[in-house]
Amino acid sequence: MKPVFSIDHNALLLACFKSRFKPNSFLRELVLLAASLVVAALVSMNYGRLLFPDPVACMLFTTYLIQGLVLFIGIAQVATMTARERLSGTLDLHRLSPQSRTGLVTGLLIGGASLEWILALVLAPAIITAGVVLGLPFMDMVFYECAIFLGALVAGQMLMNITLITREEVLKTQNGTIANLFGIVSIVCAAIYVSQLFDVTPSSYSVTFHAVVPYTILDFDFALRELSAISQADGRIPLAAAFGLQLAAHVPLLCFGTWVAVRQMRYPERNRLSKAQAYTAAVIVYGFYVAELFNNARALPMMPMLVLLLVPITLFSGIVLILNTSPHYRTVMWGYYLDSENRQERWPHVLLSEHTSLRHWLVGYALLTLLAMVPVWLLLHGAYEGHPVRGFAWFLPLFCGFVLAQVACFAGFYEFFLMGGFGRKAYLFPLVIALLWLAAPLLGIVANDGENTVLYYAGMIVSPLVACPRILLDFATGDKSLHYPEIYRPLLVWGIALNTLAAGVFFSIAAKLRRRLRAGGCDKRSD
Amino acid sequence: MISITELRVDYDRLIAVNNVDLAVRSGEILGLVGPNGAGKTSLIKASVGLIEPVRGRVVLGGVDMSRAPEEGWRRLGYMPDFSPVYEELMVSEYLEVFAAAYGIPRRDRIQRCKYWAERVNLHTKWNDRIHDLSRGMRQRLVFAKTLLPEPDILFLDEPASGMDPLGRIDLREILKEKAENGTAVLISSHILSEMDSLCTALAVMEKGRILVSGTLEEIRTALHSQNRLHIQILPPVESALTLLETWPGISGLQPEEIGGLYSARFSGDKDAAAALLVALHEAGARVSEFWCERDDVESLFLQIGGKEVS
Repeated sequence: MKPVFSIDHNALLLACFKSRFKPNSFLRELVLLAASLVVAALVSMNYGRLLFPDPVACMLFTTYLIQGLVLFIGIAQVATMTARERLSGTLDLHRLSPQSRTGLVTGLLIGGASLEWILALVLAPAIITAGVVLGLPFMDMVFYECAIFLGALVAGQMLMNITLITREEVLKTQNGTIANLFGIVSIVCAAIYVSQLFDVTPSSYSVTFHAVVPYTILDFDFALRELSAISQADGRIPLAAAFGLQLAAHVPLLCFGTWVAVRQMRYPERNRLSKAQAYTAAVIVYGFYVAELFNNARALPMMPMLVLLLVPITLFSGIVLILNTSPHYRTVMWGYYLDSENRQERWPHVLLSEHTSLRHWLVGYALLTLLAMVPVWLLLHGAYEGHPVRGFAWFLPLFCGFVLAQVACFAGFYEFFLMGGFGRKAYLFPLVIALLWLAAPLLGIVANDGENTVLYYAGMIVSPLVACPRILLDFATGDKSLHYPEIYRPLLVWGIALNTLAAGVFFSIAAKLRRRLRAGGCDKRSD
Repeated sequence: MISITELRVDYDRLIAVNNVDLAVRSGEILGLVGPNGAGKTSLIKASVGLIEPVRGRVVLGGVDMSRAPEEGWRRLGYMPDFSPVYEELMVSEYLEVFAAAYGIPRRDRIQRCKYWAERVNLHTKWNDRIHDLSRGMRQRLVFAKTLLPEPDILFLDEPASGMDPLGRIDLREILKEKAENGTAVLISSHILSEMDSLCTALAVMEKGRILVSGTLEEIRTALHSQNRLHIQILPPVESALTLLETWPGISGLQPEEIGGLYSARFSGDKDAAAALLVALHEAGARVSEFWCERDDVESLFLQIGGKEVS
């Protein structure tokens, strides 16, 4: 296999390098970069002077921020180059060459922001040296640098994937760079807001925070303050451990992102995720969840809520992944196939394949969810003392089973729709979903006159959107007596039974429709 | 060499390519003609693997594109109907990038790039930025890029659009040369006169379907296409006209605008034409010009049903 990092073999990398390092564009970008750096330097110098009386610490902080800004621009540049390659059609020419798809993705990621990577790398030795001179451990400085580069790579990869998935018409009508920059700023602001909301700091026990959020700038600020004797040590977790967490999260995320991008390069018209990718995404989400759970097991009073969060996580990721793994979901969702006069002829073979059936996906997903529940169940009964939930071992598995049955029911209904269950009336699908998920439970809640009526329970059973938050809310605010979970037992049991039954009915009708469509002259080739 | 079976491509509400079967043999140049929106570009894109067909099979040089597309891409050259270029690169750099993409050894790259730049008459622009090139020049550049890896299968989508007459001549010469060396070429175009002098086979496409395909001879036969006979007769013309009107295989005899020039549909072969000329001579007719022409691509296309040729 030819090395993907070599410009001798990776044509896209070579093209990006040649484009980015043209004297004219290089100079233009350099001037733009210098202008933004000067502004950033001025702002952070003022801010830094207030924080750090020591000029070396101030300079170091400023340089670190500047490096962050350069990488930030680089991330946006990756998305811009990807959009440009797609819109100009050159990406298609590369796709039709015998280069490896991984090479194409790597070429865009490294080459797209080559100028910024190099500028940031140039700053790295200066930052490390200044940190060491100031008295920070050498390895700590290396960790800070590696963490910020790793974070930038993952963010760049994510934005590249978004740009690859976005429809060409949308890319044409919007300015990709501005939209992507806006996206990054929004994510960073949201992360900061959420961390403040939950009082999450570098001393936090949150695994997800350490693993995903680029917190190193914040941590670096803390370290500098401590060094400048502005504040005392606050019991932060060791930097090496935090960096280890970042590595453990970012490297799989980077690999996963590359995997998704490689598939997009190969099959741009298909569904966004393959079944295997959907499983992996679910594993990553559950991995974070379980890690969070273990890490907080002994410390936080949020524990029971955290445990029950598994249920909405299951629900949300299940439904999102179902939509993302459906072949040609967009065309089907908008009823393009259903509108056709000769439906049997127009049905795409991938949709008719047994392998694309959501049943296969659903079985694996259910197993994964139940498997993830085991450590939760163990924790609940091993670590958390004195909470009523502990006395009701049945509650969590039943609750998970209830939500899984609701996800299965949705999957069955959706597959029934994909197979043309509504004929040409595609609008019926969202209409029925809206009725079941919103109107029915709301009606039940309105009609609920102090006492829970049958309508109320029926609404909860058919609506995953209302059932989960409602039960969680009741759990959080209601009477935490030993009898509390008992009132939900019949609802959960009936919910599992009815939803599973409905899922079975929908899936069997969908299977019949599939067979009929396939017999109607469509290709037998599997996906 | 190129075998397309039951290919079908759908876009949201449109069937772009509808159960198309097509074959191009080694050394054959197949012209794909049809009105705008007939599905030519979609057919080519689905054949090379740029878009995924709803169903159907494409085999290029014995390689099933749904199973081993990488192997197929090694052997094919594709030129889209627009010029995908890096505006800021120079001509040499652009070709170098795609030479790297096809794994051409570094030591041979410059030489190979220069050779093809010269063949398409771009060598004078070797160090020019692509941004400064005209549309025709860009087309030449993309054509050179297409030929760089020496493909034995070529898919060309409107390659001559925007090219000047010299560029078209170069294109035609190169394609003929490639076909002689065994390359299978599928070329789509609106310029039917170009196709006439270039193609050995023709496929007419309309509304996603292939109306007719085959070698030009096969299509003429299938359409019962007749030759057109042109005769310039010097006065007196009466005896010659009497003979022509009664001669078997001649129909629709009519005078043309130029005095003494007559044309008619003629269903005979070359021997029959020669016999007619001898008979005219023996009947005392003074024939100053006599030639027989076959239906060109444009006539065939119009006979088949194309209505919107640009």
